[in-house]
Amino acid sequence: MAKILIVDDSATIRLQLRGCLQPAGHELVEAENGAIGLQKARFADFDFIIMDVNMPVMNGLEMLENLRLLDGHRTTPVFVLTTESSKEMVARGKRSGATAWIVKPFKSEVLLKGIDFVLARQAA
Amino acid sequence: MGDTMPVRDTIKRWLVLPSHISEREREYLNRLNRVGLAFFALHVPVFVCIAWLNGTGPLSAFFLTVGVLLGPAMAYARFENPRAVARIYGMAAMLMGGLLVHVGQGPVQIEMHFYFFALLAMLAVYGNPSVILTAAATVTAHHLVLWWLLPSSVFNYDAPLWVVLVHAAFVVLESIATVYVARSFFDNVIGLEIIVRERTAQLDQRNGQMRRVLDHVQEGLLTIDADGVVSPEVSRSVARLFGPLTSGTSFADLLERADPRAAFAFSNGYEQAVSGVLPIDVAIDQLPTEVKVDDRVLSLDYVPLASSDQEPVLEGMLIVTTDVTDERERMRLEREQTEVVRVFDHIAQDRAGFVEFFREASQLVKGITSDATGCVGTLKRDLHTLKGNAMLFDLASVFEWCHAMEDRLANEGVRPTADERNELAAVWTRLSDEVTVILGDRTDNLEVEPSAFEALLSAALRPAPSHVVAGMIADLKLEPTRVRLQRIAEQARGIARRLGKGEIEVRINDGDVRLDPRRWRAFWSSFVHVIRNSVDHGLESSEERVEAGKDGPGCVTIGTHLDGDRFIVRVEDDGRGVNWQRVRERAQTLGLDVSTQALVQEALFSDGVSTAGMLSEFSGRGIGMGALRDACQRLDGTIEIRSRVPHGTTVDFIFPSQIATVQPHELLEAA
Repeated sequence: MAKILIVDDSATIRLQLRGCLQPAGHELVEAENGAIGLQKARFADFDFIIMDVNMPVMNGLEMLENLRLLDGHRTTPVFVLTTESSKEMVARGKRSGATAWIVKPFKSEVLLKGIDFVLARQAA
Repeated sequence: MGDTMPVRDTIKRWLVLPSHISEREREYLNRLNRVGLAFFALHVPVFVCIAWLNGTGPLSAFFLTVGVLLGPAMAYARFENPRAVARIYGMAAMLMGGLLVHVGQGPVQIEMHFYFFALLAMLAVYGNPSVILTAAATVTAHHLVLWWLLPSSVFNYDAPLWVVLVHAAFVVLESIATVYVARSFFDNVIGLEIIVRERTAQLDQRNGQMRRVLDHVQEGLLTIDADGVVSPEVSRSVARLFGPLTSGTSFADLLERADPRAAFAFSNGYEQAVSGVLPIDVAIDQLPTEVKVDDRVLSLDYVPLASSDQEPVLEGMLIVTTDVTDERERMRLEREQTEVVRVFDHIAQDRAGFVEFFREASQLVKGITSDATGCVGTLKRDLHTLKGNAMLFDLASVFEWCHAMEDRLANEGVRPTADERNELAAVWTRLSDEVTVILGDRTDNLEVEPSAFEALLSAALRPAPSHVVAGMIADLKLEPTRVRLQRIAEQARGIARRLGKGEIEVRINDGDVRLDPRRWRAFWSSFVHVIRNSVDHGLESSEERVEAGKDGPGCVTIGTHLDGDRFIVRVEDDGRGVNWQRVRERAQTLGLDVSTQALVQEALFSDGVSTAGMLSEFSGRGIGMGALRDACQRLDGTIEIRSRVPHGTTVDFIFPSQIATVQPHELLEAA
């Protein structure tokens, strides 16, 4: 099972992600904003990162841009949680190397399947 | 007989070409006939030379060859039908063969017969079995007649009849093969246009049938390619549902006209499905399933058109659009009706309780709908409290509205828009109208129990001191907590049933306390949060209780009592107890101070802290307890939590006793 970093300022979303990912056996580390997420990514390896876009201190895209500069995270799969209205954000996210976008609100089983798919392809 | 007919028909079908001559065939035959005529003309000098070399009379060879040449030349000049010309050519070719054998008399006369077979084979180029048959008949007649009248013109020895028959057998054999070759050549090459036309006609027929389906089906049916561009073949309803469709329009463009958010969700999800960054079904699951176009609600269903490889690639999609406006409207009306019935039931069961709820909820609705810029924390609590109470009183439309707004506020920090606030206001106005119809104007009537009436009457007759009588009259205005607690107990049982926890035991211990309902309205309104917490997170499932060695169903005790100068509202459950370690961790991630147990307890009432592992429609956001603490503090109360894992939790709401008692003059002033 994978070690996953969750970066979201919404306690509710983190709670929801934990409720979805923990039972599947994933090891989770949480961060409340991009700056904390980047800090945690700097000192630990993660198999997968799930991040929100709009966060205080450092938003998700800034974190993603900086994350890709770290040696250990150039190819770490990143799912960006997005709303239906953040068109420009998605365009910037693509440029920054996001793997995929998951539109909120999302279904747990759908997210899990997406993560498994990307992890399996990464391993192949 | 039954079998011979199809065989004969098959042979006939093979030998006789379709009567229609296509332009392509006519052009081909005319060109071939022109070349053929030149080919025949070449025979004149060649045969004259052979006759001269062979000493068989060049002059007679000249006249005979020119005589044969006249036939195809006249046919070419006169006949309109190029197939008829070709048949004459078949006859002429064999006569030319006969002439070669004639002028080639001598030691190689027999070898000259090869020319018949060469010419027969060449005639296959017409693709017409009748040309071969004409040629075969001609050569047969030529051999028989000349063998009979002028044998030296055919054989250089005295050949018996059976030799002629051997020659004929070879002709027949080659003719059969050549007919087959010619017909195949016609069907697959010369007659291709006919085949294409027949197939086109079949396709047109099928397209016509398909068009009829597409023109009459109510659903909007369309397919898109991998770039999301809509193919031209769509059902007529597509234009009705989305407006006119121009060539090269993408489905996202169609959605963009009505709902840019849906358009973005679609193009984003579809791109991910096509590019393969996500599994096709995962990407499709994120596509919008409903879109509002003008005043119509359209549902969208997606059928992926993928390659059948082991790792399928999305090549396009069939999109089925259904106008569900009427269905949604019918469901809305049905739900409204159900709500009214439920309101009626609640009023019949507990009129005072419903009135109390409705008054409190009206205040919350007023706050939520009128405040566009106020404190987010207050808005969250109001939404949460209204949602919880609306659920208890089966007002699904209000519950769902609150749930959606609460979700979005928590996830995206977006407050309800003006339209959304108006929507809630409209729902509440509708419900208020229904409630007014059912209740009439009796909402403020005072109900007096017979025992209280008799006690008051006897006090007045004694007569008792006026302050005693005034106290008794004031008491009429107070609400026994027993009624309130019974109502809450019923709600607790309802929550347990909805959560699938089965029947739970709820005990009541009211301590004969009466309270001023107006003063305690906000507290009781928020009180539902602690009940939900106890039932949802405190009480275990029946399986967990068995594992923990607990007998029987979960039990919640709710009570009110006066304890010296304190008035206490207590909720006790025999569930798993509070996981303080978890509360501490959650509080730490929110940056709260958890250095002492008191601070950890305090953190439990902060927004965002919850002991819940999962969100449910009932609880889990860590907002409700904050609302309850605020209501408690407004009555100068404090909260104490005692928990023993895994034996249960006791929550005490402790108030100064004077807040629970009312002086008669206070009621008069309030009135």
